[in-house]
Amino acid sequence: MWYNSNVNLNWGGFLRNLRNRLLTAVMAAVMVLPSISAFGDIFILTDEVRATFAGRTNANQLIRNATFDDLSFAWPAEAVVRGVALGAIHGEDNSFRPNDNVTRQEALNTVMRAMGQSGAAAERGAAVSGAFDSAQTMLNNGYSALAIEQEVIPADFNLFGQATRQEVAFIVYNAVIAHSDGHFRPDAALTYIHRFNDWRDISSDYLMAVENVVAASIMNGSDMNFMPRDNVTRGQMAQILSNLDTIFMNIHGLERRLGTVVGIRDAEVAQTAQVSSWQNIYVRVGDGTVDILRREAVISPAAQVNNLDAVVFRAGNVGGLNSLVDGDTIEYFVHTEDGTVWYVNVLHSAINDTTDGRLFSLDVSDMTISLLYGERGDGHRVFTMVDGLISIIDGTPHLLMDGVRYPVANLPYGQTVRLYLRNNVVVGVAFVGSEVLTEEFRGLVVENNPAFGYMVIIDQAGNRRVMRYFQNEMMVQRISHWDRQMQVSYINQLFPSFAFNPLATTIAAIEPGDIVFVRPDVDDASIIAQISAVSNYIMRYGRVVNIVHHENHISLLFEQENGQTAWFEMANNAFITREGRRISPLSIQVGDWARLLVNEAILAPGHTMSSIIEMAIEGDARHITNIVRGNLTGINIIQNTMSIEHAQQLSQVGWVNFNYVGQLNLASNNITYYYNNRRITRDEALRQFGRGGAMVYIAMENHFAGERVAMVSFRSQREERLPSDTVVASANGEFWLAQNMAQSIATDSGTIVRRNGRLVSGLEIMPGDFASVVLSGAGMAAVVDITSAPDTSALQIMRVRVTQVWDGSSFRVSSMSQLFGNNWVFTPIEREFTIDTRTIFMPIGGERSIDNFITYTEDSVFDQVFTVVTDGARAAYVVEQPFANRAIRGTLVSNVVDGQETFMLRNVLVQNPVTNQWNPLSNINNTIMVTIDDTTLIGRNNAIVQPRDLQAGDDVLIMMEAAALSTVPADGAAGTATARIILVD
Amino acid sequence: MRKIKLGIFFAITVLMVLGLSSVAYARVGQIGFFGGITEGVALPLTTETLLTQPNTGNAGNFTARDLVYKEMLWLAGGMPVEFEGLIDIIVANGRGRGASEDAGTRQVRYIVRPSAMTADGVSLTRNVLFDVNWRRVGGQIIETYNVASWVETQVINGQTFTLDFSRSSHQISVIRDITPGVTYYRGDVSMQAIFANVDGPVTHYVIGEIYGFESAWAATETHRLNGIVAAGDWQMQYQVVPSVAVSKELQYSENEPTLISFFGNYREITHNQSGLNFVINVMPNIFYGQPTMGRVTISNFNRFEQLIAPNLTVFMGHPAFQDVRRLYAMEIITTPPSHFPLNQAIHRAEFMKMLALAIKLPVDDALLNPPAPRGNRPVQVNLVFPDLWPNRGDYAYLRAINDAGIAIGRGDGLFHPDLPITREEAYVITLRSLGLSNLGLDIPITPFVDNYAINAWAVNDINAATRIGLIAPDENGNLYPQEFLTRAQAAALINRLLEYMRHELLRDYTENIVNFMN
Repeated sequence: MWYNSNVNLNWGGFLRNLRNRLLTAVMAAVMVLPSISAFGDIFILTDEVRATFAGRTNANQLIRNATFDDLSFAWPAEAVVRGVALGAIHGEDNSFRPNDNVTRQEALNTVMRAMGQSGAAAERGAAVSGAFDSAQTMLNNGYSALAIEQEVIPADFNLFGQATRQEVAFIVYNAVIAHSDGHFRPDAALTYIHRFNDWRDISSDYLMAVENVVAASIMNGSDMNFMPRDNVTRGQMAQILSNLDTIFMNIHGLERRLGTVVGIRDAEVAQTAQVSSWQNIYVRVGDGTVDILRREAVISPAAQVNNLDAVVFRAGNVGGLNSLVDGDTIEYFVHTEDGTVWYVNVLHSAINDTTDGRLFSLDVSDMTISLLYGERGDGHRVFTMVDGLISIIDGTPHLLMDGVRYPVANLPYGQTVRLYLRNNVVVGVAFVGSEVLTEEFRGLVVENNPAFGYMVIIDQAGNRRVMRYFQNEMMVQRISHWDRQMQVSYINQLFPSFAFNPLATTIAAIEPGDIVFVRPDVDDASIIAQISAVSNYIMRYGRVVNIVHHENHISLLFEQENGQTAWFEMANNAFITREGRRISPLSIQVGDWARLLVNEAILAPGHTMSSIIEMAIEGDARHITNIVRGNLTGINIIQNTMSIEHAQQLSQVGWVNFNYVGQLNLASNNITYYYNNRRITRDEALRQFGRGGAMVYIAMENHFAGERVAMVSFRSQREERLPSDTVVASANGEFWLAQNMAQSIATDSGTIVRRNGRLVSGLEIMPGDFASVVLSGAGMAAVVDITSAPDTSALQIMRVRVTQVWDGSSFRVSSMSQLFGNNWVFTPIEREFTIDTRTIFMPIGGERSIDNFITYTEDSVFDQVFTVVTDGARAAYVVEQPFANRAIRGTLVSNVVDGQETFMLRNVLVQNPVTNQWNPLSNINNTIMVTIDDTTLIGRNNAIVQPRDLQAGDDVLIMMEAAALSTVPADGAAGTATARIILVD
Repeated sequence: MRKIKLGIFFAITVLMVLGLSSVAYARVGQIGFFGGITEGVALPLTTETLLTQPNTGNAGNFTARDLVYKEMLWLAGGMPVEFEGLIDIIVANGRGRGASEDAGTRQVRYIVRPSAMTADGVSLTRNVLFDVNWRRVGGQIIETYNVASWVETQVINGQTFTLDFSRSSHQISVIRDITPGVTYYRGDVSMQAIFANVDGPVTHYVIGEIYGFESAWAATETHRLNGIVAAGDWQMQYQVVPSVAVSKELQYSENEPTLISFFGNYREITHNQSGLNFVINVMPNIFYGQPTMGRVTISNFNRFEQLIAPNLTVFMGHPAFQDVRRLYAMEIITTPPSHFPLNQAIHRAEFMKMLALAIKLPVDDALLNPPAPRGNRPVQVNLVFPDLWPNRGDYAYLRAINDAGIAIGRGDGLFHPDLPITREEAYVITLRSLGLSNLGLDIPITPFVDNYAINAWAVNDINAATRIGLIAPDENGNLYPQEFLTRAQAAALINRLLEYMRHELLRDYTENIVNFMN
């Protein structure tokens, strides 16, 4: 037999579960594990229950019997199920065949069953039948015998063939008379039958029966005819039984009730040797009381299962009590004496409705919301809310409206709201608002085409709206990202205003990605009358990986912090800054870290367009400060440090600053580890190369919280350091140095390449770069450190004689000598230089304000000679110092720090002023102690720098006056010199 | 809420306490308001959060011991001098107004003094008391610091500068926005301090901004301060950006012995970083040659704690093993491994409980253990959703999630705790837990090809989550918003959220501010 799988599978799981629980709970004390659901009605569990009705033991059988595959939603379905549930209809197989005609025997059997005679009929049938009769024949015999005995049919009633309508009426009439008093009146006047045109066709024997069944609405005619001799279908027969209703219930002691399912609660009790599990369905009856319909399963130790359930007809399906749902309005048949429920019919499930009104008040203690209706507010209705709509946050009640919780005190009282009702209980609230005065809509621009005068906007409902416009007949304003703080009042929309409106612009300024409010034209809604836009940009942070310069724009390959790389287009005139100062796009370098202001416009689902609006480049905040080598000894995972033994730092003169153990900070989240060309993990590095085994090279980067590791590279080959040299060619990460053009040097992914402070790949090594290379094995670079080649040729240093000063603005000189290399070239030409507050004026004695550069008082500079460093026609430095025309060269032995007054040079060469030859100062100790002071000018990379910028290994040219150079003492002690100008080359 | 008629009932009043506890959470001013840095206040370790928190510091000393403090001293002009000393921050609770505590006062005192590490010839002693007035509007708190008393002396290279309090003023006002997982704040500082010196008075003007956030996994505070120092014959303009950040990281390590009942475990490490950058924009010529920028850092000692080591052999080798193992270690997944099949759908309630544990959403203890019914008397309950009953084992977490506005039920008025969560729902509530819905776009267009499948209510938060990089289209541009998540995917998503809080969010408040002078 076909059955409703849903119902039965549920039972199956339910019981299996129960059995499992039984096994584990045999010795347990009483334990309640409730799970509950309820619809709104929160008192349902606490109100007194008037009656509890359990299901019946045969319900499972009935549910299966009532499940016919040819019945769903056919009109008699409910009647058939009800007939089965109440025992009047027996299903024989999985089809009911509702359109087949009923036989006289079937009609009799069915009516007799409805009268509760099935048990008696079975007994009687067995008594009157022969031993070889079939079960069905025995039953038929029983019903017939009983019917004759109870005067339901006369003894000569022909039980063969199909039943007619009048015969069915006759059987029903007699059966009811036989079993229940007061329903039919044998003495009734024949009035109802006269309504039928064909009443004369009714046999006289059946007239009273038809009169009574029609009067009781058990059978009806159609089109003013009773058609007494027509056949009756099985479906019609079921409906006739269903119409017996009250008669039937009287006979069986049943009561019919109406109510609403408001709560379902599962519970389970495990006791010693028995588990029972039930599901209570709480029904709020029409009169306000509560009934419980209970589905129950009990399992005893012998695994005997006792199920109590009832037949439920819901939306065309047959099921058990567990098919009931919160909010169902039901009729149900209960046996009040033995406390059982026989049948439940779901009349309708929850009724959903909405109502719009003006929000009047909210009563949190009562969970009610009230609305006003009508112009004068005379309609006032109060609705109960489900609890979920109100919650208490931080001590104040909030109402859930449109999915957001709003404080009750700040609700839009007086404005229209829409309540969503379920069985008249509020389950949702939505804001509607007040009268709309201006038609406007909000949206996102996906295309703007001023040339053709249209714009495509996605509005808030997701519609793609093509709006036309006439550039000269519309108002446009747009808030750009730099205008966000601007206050522009809307008052100019109300009264004429002639003030500057900084937001007014033209339609061409509106970009895809802008969020706009559009007011369409009153006469033509497809034309824009006013539009107000705001840019919708976002910051992106990351590193420049590649730059391609085009004629009018730049393409930047940008690697974001999450590792994602993307090409961005940027106009040549985009706003670009470095450390807050505006720069040209040509100054962007690969490896720069930058903050991009990006317009990431969504043009269509799955299609976005990014363009750079602004770019801010960091200073040296993430530059590679140091390159360290050594052997890895361990990693402190708690304090996040890496220990390197025999640690040394790379400098111009090689590896310096030896430490037995160096501690390096590992705080960065994106440190990369390499072994030769292969990327490895930190743990692999620690396991493979801890305690030596490979040389490790580490690039350290700047960080506001202290220098930390950026890249770690292990190398297994012998190291060799090449002197700094110029790259003459490069291709695909290979490059050639000027001093050994035969041998190329390769880079791999583990090569640390620092280019002007930035960590870059080997592909970024360019001809002209000045590189210091550490090789690991032949032709493979472990470290490439690129700096700009030392150059001071652009530095303009001259000696001038002052003839006139215009205080604070400029001065004139009568003649000048300019320093080229180590030669002063005299030009007898008058020139004028401007000065400003940033010009450094250093007379002997240390005054530094240009205010004192005057041609009066005892400090007059008239006819005095100064060394001037110029920046075009502007004097950047005006320094009083002797004429420094002797030159020496040498190499710095160590770095110089601020405040240091002397430093040592080695490999000193002294220029013979007569022959211009460079000769070593000494063959024994070719060093010299150089003295500097505030007025010493130090030039490096075409700029004046400070003593702290002098580094060990720098080759310098020093200019001094002839008297400042001491001869070398014979005992080999160092010579001394006082430097006036130092140029690093 | 409806009146309770009889029986045992659940207390609802506790919700108020939740809000207050998050007030105590964010500690604005952990580096003072003078352009200096401390080593930062460590986030409490897990065990400490279970005990009475020593560091919550609503009242009393901010921290158990004085913090190392560094500040640049500007008054002598030129390159500032670095001061290293100690700072003690003492908070005294004042009064609150009304039971709902929507306004109140407290006092904060900053005491700076030299320490053994202070350099010769340099000294800073400062004792400043701020009266703090605050009010709360919804989930936002406005706090204003007014200086009540201020004593300060600086010694820079032998020169002494003494504050004239009668002519000095200092004010800070801060707005804090409390979202479910993160409390964000922004403040503004304005200071005018006049110091007496033998060469005449020196005035120090500072104006600047404070940005910060605090969550269970990371906290940071960064100031961008612009200062002008004006002496009789010179003036200087500078910018200083001090920043402290704390994050909790996980470190796994395997055990050395083989014969041990667990393979290895995670350690939770509170990782502090603090430093300041400064740039002198205008350096008078009399200080010619001095550097115009610099950095100062305080090295930190990272505190740590062991995390539990559950037996997860059933997951070994699964691609999501690491994610799952981390969440087990952090006690975010609490279900036994045998009941956490990674290939099955995760239900709404299960995901939400994980999320609540992940962001350490305050949970009402009273709801964790609902009272048992006595005899036959029924338990009286207040329902927030008809299908969300207080005797659910995970009720307290679901309530916390709901009260925080992270998940508000499906549109039918029900919570559906035991239905599989859709990806769309998971992404939206993950984003909401960060409180960053404002970065979204509520117009129903997203960068996803299957935009049509995204429900209208989810569009804004899906756009926000995409924008901040929490989610991204797959290689075909799809999001699959209506598909369900497996537990493995859910674990990965929660881990992603935590990584986001630890790293991306933190970076936006530290490097992304400090590295860009403006």
